[in-house]
Amino acid sequence: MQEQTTQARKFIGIEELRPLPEKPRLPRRPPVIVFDPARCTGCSTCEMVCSQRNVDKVAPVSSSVKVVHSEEQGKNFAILCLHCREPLCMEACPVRAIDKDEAGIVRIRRVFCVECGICTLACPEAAPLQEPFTGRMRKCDLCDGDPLCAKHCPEDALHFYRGKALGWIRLLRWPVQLVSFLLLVVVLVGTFCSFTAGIVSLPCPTGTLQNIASTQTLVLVTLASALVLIGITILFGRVFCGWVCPFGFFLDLVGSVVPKFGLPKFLKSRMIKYGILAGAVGGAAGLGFQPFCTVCPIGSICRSYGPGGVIKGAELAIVPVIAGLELGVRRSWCRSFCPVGAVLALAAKIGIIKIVIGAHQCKKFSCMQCADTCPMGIIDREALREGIAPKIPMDECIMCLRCVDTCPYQSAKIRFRWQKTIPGEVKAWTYS
Amino acid sequence: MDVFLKSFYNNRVAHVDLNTSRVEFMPVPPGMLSEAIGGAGVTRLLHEHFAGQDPIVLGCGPLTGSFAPASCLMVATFSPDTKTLIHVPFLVNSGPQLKFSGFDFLVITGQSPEPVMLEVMNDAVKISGAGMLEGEISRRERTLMSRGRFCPEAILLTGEAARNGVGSAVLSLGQWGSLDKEGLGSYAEKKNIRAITLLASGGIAFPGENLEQGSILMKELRARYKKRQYVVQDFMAGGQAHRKLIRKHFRKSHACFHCPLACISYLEFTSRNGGKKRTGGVFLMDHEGFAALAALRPLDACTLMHACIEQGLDPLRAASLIGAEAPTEDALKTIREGLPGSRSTGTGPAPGSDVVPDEVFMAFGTGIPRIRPQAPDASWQSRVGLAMILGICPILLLTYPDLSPDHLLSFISPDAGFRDDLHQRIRSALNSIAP
Repeated sequence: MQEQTTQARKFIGIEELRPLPEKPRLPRRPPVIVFDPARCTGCSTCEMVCSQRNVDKVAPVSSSVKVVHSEEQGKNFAILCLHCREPLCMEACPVRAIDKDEAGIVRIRRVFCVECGICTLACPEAAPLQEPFTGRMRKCDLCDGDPLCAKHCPEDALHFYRGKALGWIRLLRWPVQLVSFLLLVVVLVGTFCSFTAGIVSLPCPTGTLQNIASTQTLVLVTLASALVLIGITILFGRVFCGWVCPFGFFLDLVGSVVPKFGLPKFLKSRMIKYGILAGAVGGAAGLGFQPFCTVCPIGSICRSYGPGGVIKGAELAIVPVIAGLELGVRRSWCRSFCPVGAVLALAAKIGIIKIVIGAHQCKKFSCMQCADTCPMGIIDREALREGIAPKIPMDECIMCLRCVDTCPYQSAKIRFRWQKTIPGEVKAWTYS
Repeated sequence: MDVFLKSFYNNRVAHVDLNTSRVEFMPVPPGMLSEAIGGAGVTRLLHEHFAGQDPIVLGCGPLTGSFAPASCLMVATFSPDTKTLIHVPFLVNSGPQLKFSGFDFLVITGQSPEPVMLEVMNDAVKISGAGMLEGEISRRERTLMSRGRFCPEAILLTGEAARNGVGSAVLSLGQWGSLDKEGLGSYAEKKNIRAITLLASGGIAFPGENLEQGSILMKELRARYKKRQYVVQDFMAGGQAHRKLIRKHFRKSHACFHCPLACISYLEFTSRNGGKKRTGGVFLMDHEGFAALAALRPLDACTLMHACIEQGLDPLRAASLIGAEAPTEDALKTIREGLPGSRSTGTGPAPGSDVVPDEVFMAFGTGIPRIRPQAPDASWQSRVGLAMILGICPILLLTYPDLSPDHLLSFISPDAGFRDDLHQRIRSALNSIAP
């Protein structure tokens, strides 16, 4: 009898009645209404037309969009559903009255809704709106693909947009990485550490520093050659790490197939690489040879092919060890340990370009695809979750441009360091 | 006509008797809408209806809250000295909030023994104690806004100036300021009204076909003026001091309900108070008041404007009394402690204006900028009167020359004959509300 009751209890849970659907596949072009606060004058026309559609009369309380005036800051904000990739309201709803359809529109199914308001509490934007006196829940359903608020907004502060990722940058990056790998490993055998072709010489900057420290002599030609890569980094960021480095390419390949288990906290510090760099240079000064170069995974890979390559390169054993770090997080070597990256990071810190995320069209917490796709893990998820445009530390960015490529709303952009406005933003005092 | 016009209203009047703390509801008296259409026309008739009880009548027009552009107006009609009748316009979202709260007109009579606030929402008016409303207007506004689930969308507040017995104290829309320059704040304070809060709870089924028409008109009007922050200032009489200050401090344009003009500028400024730097912002809805302060004291006009709004004081009055030479600290002290010489009526404009006679200007609360109507065949009086009757922002009608009455009346009826009849009635109502 008791067993039967337990079974009966088990079967009346909401999880059994209406289990959460599997994570829906993101549509290729997720629809969204983009709000531009610089243009919004707070005229509430959106509320007016939305309520006209909802209840066939002008009744701002029955609108699915709400204009909030920040009278102390002199700003206006529109609260409306962003149709998140993984909607928190959907998970929070105790009666599973919220679902997301194939077009990417999150809807409240009125027949199930008990008007408890938990979805409003769960939503970072508080977008499901509850009518103050009736308790009825309202939420934007994008007017089934033709939102009236965007159509009638006199200021064009609301703009209906179907997201579309660029998608072509990765098609360019992978071939470039492959060609670079083949060039540095197969064609130009024994290169990168000190590649010389005619009068052109491109030595590794870390190797050069160790060389200077170990020989106690400064060869200006070598130094100038090493500065070429530094100069490129100042101009274009760490493109070497993202597009050229053969070991980076190897890590990208490994990282795309192995599962991730995370790294212990003491291995996560991005300062370790500076310590390794200092140790390598100091060691070279003390020992009289270049100690790091003997175990350098980039050099090992470069020296692994050609006459006596693999056999001679016993140090190649370091490669699988470091590749094993990919079980922790993506590009963990580049994030925390690579001293070559450390030198380039110092150059990128004073570089002239930056990546900005968080234009008005950025949907922040509702999307976060840029944070998911960044191999260096430098896009601050917490900032996005709080609706703040994250600041990208350019010394850690390897300029792979995955964020720019993936963002469905084109809100990740490359800008010069001195450009202070985020792209797409219209200065309030100049707009017309 | 009466029945037709009722479809633009809730057809409900709330009468609040502060002597007995009772609220009663009634339909709009028959024939009143057909005679005066709405807005200032009907509030005048209701004022006559409740004559002898010192009424303040708040009301909206048929187009308030509708798809017509700038349908934001609420009118407050009162008589400060039993002879003159003043119609004070309230903008931003006050009109729609009143209308959608379930009432078209709110009549407040009598005098409360204790300070009270009136909460208008969900087809009801609640009279409650105003003990917790203290300090400057911004603090009182925040108190009201943080009172829980039903926070009001529009708040009419009296400030410290009214409590100090200053005659030109205003009834303001919180941080937005006020177009009241005839001492409605002082008048409300005499009745012991500290605040009137409005929260929409329902709606009106305006003709749905007007949505598209309104949208097209809005976008056309929106495209007319590129730099909207200067539109009102450019048309106003007087120097260019206020324009220069706006150029220097302008941060953002704000609009009232469904308004394409967005003439409320938000100015950001830094002031020094007691050696401390302080950054603040001020909404510029009262263009006349700011122009007066800017002409007098261009260096600290923003600071003083902010102080006037905080204290619930008419900046025009402040400008006439604080003088051009006094240090900022002294001027602020004067504003905070109350200006000398209370008066029951407002300051009024400087005489000699050829745009509008003084008595007409005063009849409409003197807060509407005295700008020459851009339409060649229109007078300031006819444009403002039409707006005050229909429930449209008067500034919009003054600044757009080709926005004819017919444009607006087409939101009431598409029938040309009906519109002619309506126009005749508006004309006679207009003659009755303005001297």
